[in-house]
Amino acid sequence: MTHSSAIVGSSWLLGLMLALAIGVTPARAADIDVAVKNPRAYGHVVGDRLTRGVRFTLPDGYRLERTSLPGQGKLNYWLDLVALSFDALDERGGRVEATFVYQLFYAPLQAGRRELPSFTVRAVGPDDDVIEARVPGFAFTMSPLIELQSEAEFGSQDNDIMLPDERPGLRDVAAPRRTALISVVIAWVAVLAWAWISDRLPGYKRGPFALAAARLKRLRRGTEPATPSALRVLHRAFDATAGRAVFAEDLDGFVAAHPAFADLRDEIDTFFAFSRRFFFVGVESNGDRRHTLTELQRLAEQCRRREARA
Amino acid sequence: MQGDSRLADWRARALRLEEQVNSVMVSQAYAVRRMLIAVFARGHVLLEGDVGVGKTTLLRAMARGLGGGYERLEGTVDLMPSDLAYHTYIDEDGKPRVEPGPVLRHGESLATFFFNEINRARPQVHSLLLRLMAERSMNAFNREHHFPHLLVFADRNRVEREETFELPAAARDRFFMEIGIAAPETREARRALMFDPKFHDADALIESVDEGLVDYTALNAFASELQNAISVSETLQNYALDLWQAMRDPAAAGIQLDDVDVNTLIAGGGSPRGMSMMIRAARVNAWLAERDMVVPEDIRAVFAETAGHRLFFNPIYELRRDEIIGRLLDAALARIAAP
Repeated sequence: MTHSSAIVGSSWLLGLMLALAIGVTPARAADIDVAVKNPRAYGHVVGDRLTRGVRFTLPDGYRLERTSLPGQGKLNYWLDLVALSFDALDERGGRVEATFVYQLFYAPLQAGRRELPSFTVRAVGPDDDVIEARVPGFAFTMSPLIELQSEAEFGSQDNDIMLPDERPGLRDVAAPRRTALISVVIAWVAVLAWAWISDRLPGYKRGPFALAAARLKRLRRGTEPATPSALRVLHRAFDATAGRAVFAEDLDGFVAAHPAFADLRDEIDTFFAFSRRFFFVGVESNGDRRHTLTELQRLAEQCRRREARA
Repeated sequence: MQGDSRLADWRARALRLEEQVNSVMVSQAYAVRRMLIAVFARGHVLLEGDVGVGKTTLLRAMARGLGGGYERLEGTVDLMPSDLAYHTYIDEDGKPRVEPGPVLRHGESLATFFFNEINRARPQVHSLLLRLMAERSMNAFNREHHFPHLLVFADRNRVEREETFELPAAARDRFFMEIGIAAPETREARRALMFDPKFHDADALIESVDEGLVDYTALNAFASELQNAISVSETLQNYALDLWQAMRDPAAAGIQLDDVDVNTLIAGGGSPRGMSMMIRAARVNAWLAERDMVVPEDIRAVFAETAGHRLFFNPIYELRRDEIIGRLLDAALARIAAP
């Protein structure tokens, strides 16, 4: 038997056992399911209120008999049930959340155990059959308000009855602080990267050709023919530099207004002539695509340098 | 190939005509080029300018170069539509006579009709003229007369407003172009106009233009051939559409003008007919520049003349029209990029 088939075999066995376990103890249909949510079981003093939530889940068609629950009022000499409320969790009353609020009137001389009494609830079925369930008691510790010490006295320098207030404990914030710092750094880096890409970095404005060069660099490198969008990127850079739409006929004026580009005149002329053929001749697949993306990138880079110098 | 050589042949003649008209006019190369475009796009022109800047001389020179009949009529407040068609007088025998008027006198050979001071004439006359422009025909002597080669040039006096009838929007829209003619700006040109005896005798000056340089009877056929020969790419169509949109809604195109609220500036205009005329003119401009496709520069060259008079401002801005329109058109051209 190989290793993998052993695993398959054992998981088979496990499945069988699970099926058996479910089969042996099937949930009885006519049971009230009781789930109790208890308060803390220590540190209670006289006058405290204890809130106990009990969720009853009844079988189909059963309704909880309210009179089987303890009534509001004095339960015994030290315990009152001061409030009792019901909350139906579904429309037919099949799931009920009962909230019991007890108040303690016992004043212990020393810490001692007490218990909220258990009680039995009843539910009536569709055929008037009655089922019962027991809500267990709840044991907890009650303490005296003040420790009984014969030698201690109020206001004594050496042995005061009251201990000084405990200072609230400080939570460890090192880990959250580190997380917050890292988040802030990441957010700032993201904002700066966005500002850089969209040229909104305050105090550091990149020129149109610097942006165009960066944008062209982001396009795929290679010798493939220049795409309309790549040509447009460069056109927008010329437009932005001139402050208005620049066409081939405007190049004299453009160079006159921006003498830094004068020595690139031939390259710029070639670019505009190519672009004019490309966009306006109407025949775009005439095999005359002399400008490749690499050439556009080179022209943008040359213009970027002139722009930075100007 | 034959088409190409025909285009080149016609272009040579057109440029010669332009050159000769330019030798008659001083510093009016811009207006002459626009007139030439209108002639080859077969569109009627509204001329605009001060008194005595040479509008009539320019027209007569152009008409002489084109050949065909030339007529000129002065718009006056008492001019009636019938005055265009009939000439009435008392003959030597004292009998009333009715002869063909200025429009009919040349018959079908009428090629250039100049209506001077069109806004002095009454709206009845305008409407007759508009029909003449749109259909190139007129009813007179109980039959319909056709003028297949006719181009109408009209001149508008902008100095006076008394006793004038402003052209309605529909009438202005029918003009292919509105060309402004200004007095020469340079001192040299003004000196020549004042002191060169050549410019004192307009008749002799116009004689210097060769008569019938361009055959006006063949212009219609050639104009449509030219329109088909010049291609317009999709990118350029988008550019023209963007321009049109920017004119209709300057605010959306991001156009801002000092001292003008562009949101409320435009009341209407920018008609489809106008935009198609703009492309017609751009094609002629491309042909004159020896290109077989239209580029944005062609549209730019004719934009102000073909689109400007078709835009109508809100009344509060209409009085400042001359000042605003140039800025608006320039801003649209600067703003809209192509490709």
